[in-house]
Amino acid sequence: MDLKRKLRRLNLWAYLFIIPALTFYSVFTLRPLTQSIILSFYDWDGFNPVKRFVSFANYIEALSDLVLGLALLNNIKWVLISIILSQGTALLLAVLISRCIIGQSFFRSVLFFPNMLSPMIAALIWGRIYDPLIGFVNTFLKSIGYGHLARGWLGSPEWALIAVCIANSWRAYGYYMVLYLAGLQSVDPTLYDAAKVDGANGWQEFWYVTLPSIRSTTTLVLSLALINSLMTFDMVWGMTQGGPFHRSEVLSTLIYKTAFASNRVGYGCALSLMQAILIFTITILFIRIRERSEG
Amino acid sequence: MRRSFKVLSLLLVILIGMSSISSAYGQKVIKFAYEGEWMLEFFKWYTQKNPDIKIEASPITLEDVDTGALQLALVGGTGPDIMQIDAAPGRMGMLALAGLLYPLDEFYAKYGWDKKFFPWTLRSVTYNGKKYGLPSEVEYIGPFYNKNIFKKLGLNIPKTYEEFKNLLSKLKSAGYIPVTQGTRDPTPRGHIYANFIEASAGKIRVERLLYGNGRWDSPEFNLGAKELQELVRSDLVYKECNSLKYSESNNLLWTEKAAMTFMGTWILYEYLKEYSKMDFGYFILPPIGKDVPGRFTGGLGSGYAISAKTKYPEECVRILDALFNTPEGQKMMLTVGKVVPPLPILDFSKVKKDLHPLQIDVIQKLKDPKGIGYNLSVYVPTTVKNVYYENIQGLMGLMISPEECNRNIQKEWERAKAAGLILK
Amino acid sequence: MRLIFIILLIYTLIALIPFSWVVLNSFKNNTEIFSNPFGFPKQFLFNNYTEAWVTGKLMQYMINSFIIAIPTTLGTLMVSSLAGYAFGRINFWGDTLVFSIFLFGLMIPFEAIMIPLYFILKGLGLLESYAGVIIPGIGGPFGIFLMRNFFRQIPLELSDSARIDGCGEFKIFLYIMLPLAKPALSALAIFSFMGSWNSFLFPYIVITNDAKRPLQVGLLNFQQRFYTDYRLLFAAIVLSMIPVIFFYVLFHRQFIQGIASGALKE
Repeated sequence: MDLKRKLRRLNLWAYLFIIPALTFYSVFTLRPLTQSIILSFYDWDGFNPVKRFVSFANYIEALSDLVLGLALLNNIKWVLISIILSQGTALLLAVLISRCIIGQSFFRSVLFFPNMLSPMIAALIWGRIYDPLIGFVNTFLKSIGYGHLARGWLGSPEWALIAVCIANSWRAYGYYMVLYLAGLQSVDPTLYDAAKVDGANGWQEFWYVTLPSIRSTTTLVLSLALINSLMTFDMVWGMTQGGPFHRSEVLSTLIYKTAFASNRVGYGCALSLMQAILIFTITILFIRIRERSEG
Repeated sequence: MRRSFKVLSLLLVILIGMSSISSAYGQKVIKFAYEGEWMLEFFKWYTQKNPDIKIEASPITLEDVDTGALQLALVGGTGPDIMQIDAAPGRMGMLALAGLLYPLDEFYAKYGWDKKFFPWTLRSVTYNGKKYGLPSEVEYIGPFYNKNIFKKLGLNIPKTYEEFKNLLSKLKSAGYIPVTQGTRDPTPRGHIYANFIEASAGKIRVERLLYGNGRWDSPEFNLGAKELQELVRSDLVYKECNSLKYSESNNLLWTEKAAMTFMGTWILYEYLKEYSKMDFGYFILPPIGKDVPGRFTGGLGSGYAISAKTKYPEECVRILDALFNTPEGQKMMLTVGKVVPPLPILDFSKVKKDLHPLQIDVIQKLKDPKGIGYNLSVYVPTTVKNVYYENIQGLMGLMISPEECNRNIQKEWERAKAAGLILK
Repeated sequence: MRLIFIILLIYTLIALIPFSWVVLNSFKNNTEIFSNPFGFPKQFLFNNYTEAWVTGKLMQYMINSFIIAIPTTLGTLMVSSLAGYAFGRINFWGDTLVFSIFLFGLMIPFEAIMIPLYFILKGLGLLESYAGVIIPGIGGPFGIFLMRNFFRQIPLELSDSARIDGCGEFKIFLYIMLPLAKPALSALAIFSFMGSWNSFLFPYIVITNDAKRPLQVGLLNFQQRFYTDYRLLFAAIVLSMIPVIFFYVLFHRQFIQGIASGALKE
């Protein structure tokens, strides 16, 4: 009698609701993942029926792979630039929109628009903006007398990554803006009234009222941004393919090239698993830090 | 809302149903992965003459082979029956070695192809002693220049490399970009690099590299790479070439901001379609090395191969035969596709009047195979190709030295050799 | 207040100008696109659009995109709402663990599973089929996460009283919870549709048969190996945006609300 009640409290019938999702997920995400793990211990070109077992050789090679190190650095650069450009813009715009008396819906939709473009299309558009001769950036620089700064942005070893990151921020900020907007909706308006009574100006309001109120939103959005930055692929691939000569190489482009262009599937799988572990570790760490510092 | 969903799903079911009905008609369906849109006309003509054949055509891109999508499809049995791909070790050879292509020797004998195609073109479709494809078009690559700009500045075709450099300087002083090259994309990197290697090392040494024991980092090769980099350094080859894609670079030509580019004869299609009013031509890059005559690079462009898993090998072969071996097929290749097939042209005198002088030039040069050097890009296996393209981009971006560039390629080349990827 | 508007307007320009540049250029011919990239077209070549539509077989590609995007969206909505409901309102044995396994999926980069996924699809005979693109696109962790958070906020009394009245669990889900979830479902629908419509890499490797390829892959045809027809490409891009915009306009009012209630209450 006791056992039956215990079993009933386990509510195992809930699994009936979960089974569809779990099935799709296991077959199409988990299973390939485990196979990827297995493949990472082999040397394989992707279509040869014979695979060669090499144990940890792929991982050892990865540790001394200079290009991998460069790609990792580029991802970190990307994270930092994205935080300022993408997150900063998203939060700023969200706050501004939420303070609008009229036109909220208009601005919300219009400012979200770049996110509706596919990365391929955005890459195409920004490729033209960065064109060395007739692109918008260089034409603008020349017109304000800074023509000497003009250059081929996507072919520049120093600027290629930054240029692509800017383009990506343009495309991506809308997504985060919308999330911030949603979070701002739940801020208790009486807090603002109290702040006004205390004589706070706009900036103080933002820093001492708004930000703390949306703390959990910020954690979520920043986590997503972190994950996406470490996984970034589409825009880089569409604009520079990691060039020139690896200066804009990121983890995902390197892995893609390794697995497909160089036909080294085993090595590619090893790299992608290392990337997954990196993403997981950094994200969990970030969330823990945020939770701990939550007064 | 619920109603519209029902209608939508019904529509979906109908659409999906329709697409599967068409293949149940009793026709033989042949999937053809083609490269030039002119081929659609050929398919129309062929299926009209042969109504029992249905050709499902889809365009193929370089990415399909380089990213492995094509290989995966062929292995999975869902790939095309006939495909148009580069006839070279790096592409066709790789598929042949993996057993994905149908050996065609019996058909060569049966349809008399072995007597028709120029012998030197057959080398590129023969792997491990067996023929796996048909050489489809021949092209050469070299400096493609704007004749009007040259005339305006009183420039003549350079006969020595010194003259070439002077010419570039004159163009630059007159405000033009002397040479543009779309090296943000991989293939244009190879086009210009191979030309300079040919000019400095010569065909014989390149052959020794590809089929013997030659090295990428030998002095003659380093010389070519060095000269190329020097030109970029002095902006005689557009300094920002690494930020231009292939088509962006070409448009500098068409808008007359640039005077020339290293380009292959496949440009004829675009040129004749949109810019035929402009006056363009080719010359040969003068030799840099001492004992080198100076040649175009190039040779075979693509070839046609048949999947090893095809259900209709004979029908596929017949389609290809109609393309190459009939006056109508050849005429379409020449006049619509603007490509030059690598065999004697039937009824040449009749077709001649419809051809552009450049095409006639290619046809005539073809008869003398000694005249064309190697477009290195298609002769290296995939693993080497990436290192090759990346390093050339580094070379042209002034990021690594020519010796380093060639040394990196050599390292990867040796690795590939050890893995048995270099074909004889 | 005025400052706010000015800043917002500046950003509006930044957001819209690049795309409007594409629209502008879609009416020019190829030479003009490069000789006069920022000016107004000398003539509005509307036939660029008809030509792009016809030679680019845009109708075929768009239909394919719909055939893929709509079932993906519907499937995602169903699967995510079911799972999200269970995670959000039922305490069951293993719920934290299983949910964490799903969350983990958010962090797996696509390249990590791309190749084995291809072979799994091959083994199931799903290559070269719409289903091969649709089905793997359904079990996404993001949707489950969204729906779970949403369902968590509905007061317990609602389901408790329904249970007392003898309502079965599934009926509670179907007739009470689901209708309440419209905002969250709308948000998920938009993200799901957009994601599917804009996706390139996965359909590219699964479907090589041109007749079944979706729009983003089809756009590649305008960038052939040695020739890019820019005017047609731009026209095709503009045309390809129309369904997305339309879908967004349809659902956008519920969109923010859905995210508000779905993603952010911890």
